[in-house]
Amino acid sequence: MSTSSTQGSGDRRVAASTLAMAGLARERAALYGLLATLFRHQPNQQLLLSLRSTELREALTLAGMNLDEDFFNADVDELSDELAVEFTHLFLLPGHLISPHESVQLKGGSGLLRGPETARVREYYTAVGFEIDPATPMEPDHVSIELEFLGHLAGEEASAWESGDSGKASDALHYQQDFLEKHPGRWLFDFLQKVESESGSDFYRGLARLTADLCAEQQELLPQLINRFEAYHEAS
Amino acid sequence: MLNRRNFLKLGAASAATGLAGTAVMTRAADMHAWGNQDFSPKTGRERKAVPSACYQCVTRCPNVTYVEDGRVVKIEGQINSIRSEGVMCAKGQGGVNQPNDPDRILYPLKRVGARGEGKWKQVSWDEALSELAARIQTLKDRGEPEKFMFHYGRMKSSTSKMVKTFLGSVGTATIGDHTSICEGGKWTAQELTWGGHYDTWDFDHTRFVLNFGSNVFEAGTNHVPTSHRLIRAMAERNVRMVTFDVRLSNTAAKSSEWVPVKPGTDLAVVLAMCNVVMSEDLYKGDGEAFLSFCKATGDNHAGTEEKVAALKAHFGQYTPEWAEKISGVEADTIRRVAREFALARPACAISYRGAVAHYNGNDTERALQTLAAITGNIDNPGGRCKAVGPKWHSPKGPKDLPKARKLAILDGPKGAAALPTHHMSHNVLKMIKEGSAGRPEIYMTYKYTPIYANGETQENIEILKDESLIPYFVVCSPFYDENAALADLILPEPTYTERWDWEDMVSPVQIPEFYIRQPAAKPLGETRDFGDVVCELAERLGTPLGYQTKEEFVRLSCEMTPEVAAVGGFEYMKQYGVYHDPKAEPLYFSYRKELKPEAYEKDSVVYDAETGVYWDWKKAHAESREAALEKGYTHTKKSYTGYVGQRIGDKVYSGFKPDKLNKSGYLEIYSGLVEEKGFPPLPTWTAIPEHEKMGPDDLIMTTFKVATQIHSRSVNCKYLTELYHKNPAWINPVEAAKRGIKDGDEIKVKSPIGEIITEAKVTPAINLGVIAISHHCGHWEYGRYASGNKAPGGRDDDPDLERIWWRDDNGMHPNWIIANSPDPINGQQRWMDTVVQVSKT
Repeated sequence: MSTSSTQGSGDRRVAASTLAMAGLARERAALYGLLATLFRHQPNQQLLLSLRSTELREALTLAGMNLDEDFFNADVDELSDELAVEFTHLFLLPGHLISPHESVQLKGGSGLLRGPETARVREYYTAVGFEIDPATPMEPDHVSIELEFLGHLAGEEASAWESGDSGKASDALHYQQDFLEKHPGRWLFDFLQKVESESGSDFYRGLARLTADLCAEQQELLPQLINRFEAYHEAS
Repeated sequence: MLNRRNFLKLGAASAATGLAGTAVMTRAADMHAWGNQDFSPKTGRERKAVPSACYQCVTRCPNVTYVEDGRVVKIEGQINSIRSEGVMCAKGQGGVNQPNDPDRILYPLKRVGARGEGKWKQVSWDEALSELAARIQTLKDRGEPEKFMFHYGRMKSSTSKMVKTFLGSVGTATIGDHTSICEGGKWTAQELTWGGHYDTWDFDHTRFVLNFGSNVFEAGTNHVPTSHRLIRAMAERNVRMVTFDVRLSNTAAKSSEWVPVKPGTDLAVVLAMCNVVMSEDLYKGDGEAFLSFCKATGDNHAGTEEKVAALKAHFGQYTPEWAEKISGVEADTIRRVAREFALARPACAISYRGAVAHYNGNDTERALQTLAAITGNIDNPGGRCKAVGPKWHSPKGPKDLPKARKLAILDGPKGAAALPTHHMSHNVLKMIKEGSAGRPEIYMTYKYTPIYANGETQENIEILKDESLIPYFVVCSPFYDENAALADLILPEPTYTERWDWEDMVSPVQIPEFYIRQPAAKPLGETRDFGDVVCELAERLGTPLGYQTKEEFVRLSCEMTPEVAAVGGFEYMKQYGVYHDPKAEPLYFSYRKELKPEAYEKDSVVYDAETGVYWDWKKAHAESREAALEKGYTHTKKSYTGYVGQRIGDKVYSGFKPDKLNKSGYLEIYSGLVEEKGFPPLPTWTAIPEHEKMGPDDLIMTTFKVATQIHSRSVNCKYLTELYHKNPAWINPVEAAKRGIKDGDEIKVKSPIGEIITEAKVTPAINLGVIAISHHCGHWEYGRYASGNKAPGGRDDDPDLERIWWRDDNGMHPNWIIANSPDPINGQQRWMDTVVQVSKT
């Protein structure tokens, strides 16, 4: 089904709405991408300088990630080192780490690194049509990869809206809701809560909060978007 | 009714008439080996079966690793292995937990804060290896490559070849091992007697087993291949085993007879058994015949009668009554067991750390070799045999390398041990601290935790923390162990389920078995096989090894090894995992092989009249033929490397080929090499000095291993740690009552090194005068399952964690209070000699 065949003022409204949906999805995709990056590696100087740019500083604040002045004024090399230590402590160092893997964190799950849950996540990606570069050192159920996948789905949604393929957009919305519910939704909030309470860094506390807020919002919003779309589809 | 014969007739008739049918199917591949299949209980799908090899302990049994969804889900024995015959111990099966331990190190880590502070940052491999290579290059440029010290724990086969080639290319010979904390003393004693170390126990053909201090059913250097055969021999052929041990181990419990012995007095019992054999003429027969191949007096050319007379004279002093006073073992028991051993024909004498990790361990093993020799139980079916293993061929690496340099810190302080042929790893850190022989500027450990595995734990920690003593400390390990916690750089390795190797452990059936380890699953994170890492390091340092990866090295080795290449090389090994020549005959009596004159009538071969040894002076790198003849075999440096054969009478035999020492080709009961160092040449009783000075309330502390853990690298396996995670101190009820100790009480154990608090296990399964504490436990690092240090953000609902910590106690490491102290002859760490005071807290 395509919305491009409708006529008149309705056309414009639909087109405007579609464009808005595309824009929103594109932003969401970018945000997932940013979060995936921040959970994947310790931030290097270049990334930190970008985060400290006026544009991103405002956007982070608007998104609810309030970083103190030290973050913006500290020597970038020192800040990078400090965050690298924190990143390693939080996610990599045995005896201290909060494992960023679904298979380890899922309550009632295997508790194993690369557990059976990991395979289910990989199968989900495959079923949707995605695959991970074999050179990727992360497991498919690493928080960073799951967030990246949500970003890809949002990107698919945006492209679909942009090309007027609302059916595909709807599919992408369904996948986002479904994946969020079946995977991140079952472990991510608990994981992020641990990061928020254990981290001594404003940056990682803020990152955890921001990620939790986004996912919570999406959990609430996605069913509404899907319902609205389906209602509109039925009405038209 | 049709019977089988009628069926066959019909088949033959069908074939003859061309009615046997038209085939629609052809064979697409070699028929798969029978067995070793497994199915998912959930999906019913057959799991991928990868023929590989265990690496929990040094036994390295061939295994089959099952994979589901890219994850290792089960490990079982390889039924086509002639060594393990499909058997796999608990430790091997528990290896399934290794790859999926959430507390693995997945990326290279670089220390950021103070050493040991626990502050790290992830670095790329490029950054890690750039830094390490630059430091090594600096040492090379300064002409001090020996200041790069490499210290390994578990490193064998293809990995050992590759890493040692790399170290050779760097020019360092400061290469430490861990053998002295394991069983190095036993090997030295064997090198002194029958040459190349390692004894295989032929349980398939034996009629009697005499065991001194080997926990063969629970642990050991060739555990499963020997233990399952021993059980079979006992169950099916009523083979008797008598075990001398201070503790009722599971081995002792399953033995026909357990004889408790006072720690450190096994030697007295064995000497008394030699006395019985010689005084009662039980040597006559096979033993007497075998004496032709033995050196038993100072004269290498002595006849059998002289040898018998010398042995009778020497062992005459060690009567069973004398031994009873020292060991606590009744003279009648000694006499009875000695007779039983001598008359069983064949009988197998076995030993391990319980007997050899003492001040007098060298002579305990030499005495056991003697007992086996004078009863004709050496290298014979059913006896104590020379090891047989596969001879892999492999790429040699770069040529024309400069002579490697070495810091003299591997063998302990000068004079601490006379012949430490397997070094003195437990004294390396002390030597670094003392500093007179120089200090490494780069200290790198590989699968070795000197902090945890050696004695004097606190001192180890202090030395490794001190950057003025060790400026740069690199650890290569899959896990964050006690060592890694103090490193400057951690290079993460894959677990053994994710890596390549060819393997070469010895065979209990005297037929070599070739086998490989191959990755069952993709390595997690950015972990890299250390074999691959040394290839890259060598490239960076400008001396490429000639191969790029471990996989390539293994593949080339399969192609270069004639036996393996003949059956299909690398592809065959990947498919089947193991290979042995089905037509091969077991190798016994290897020493009896007569040499043809062309083997020793060569320009480069000289005859040493004193020892009767023919040796190749060129191969041994002697200066000249004249110099070789002048200095003689015994006193030319490393002449043993040119050993050719031993003249006995008018024949020349392959004899007992020496290794590491300039021993003759005889089995040397009488050791001139030991004599030259000021020790008695024949196995002789020596009391343990500390035991001579014991107070009335002192106890001797010994250590041991259990069936469900390897020494220090398996407690992260939760299935195993659920089974064994705390190690209370075993103490006899009589000793406990004297001290007012009840079962489960908290007790203090104090030695000259320090004190520990632990729990008492009051049991008659331990001898009087002894307290025994196992290894394995009391980790303070190594992840949540080993240490009990659950990460603050770790799962707290893992039922496995709850099962492990149901009493909130992960045991107490005994090494905090054990001195790093050597056997004065071979340098073996004396695990079993510590004198302690025990009291209720």
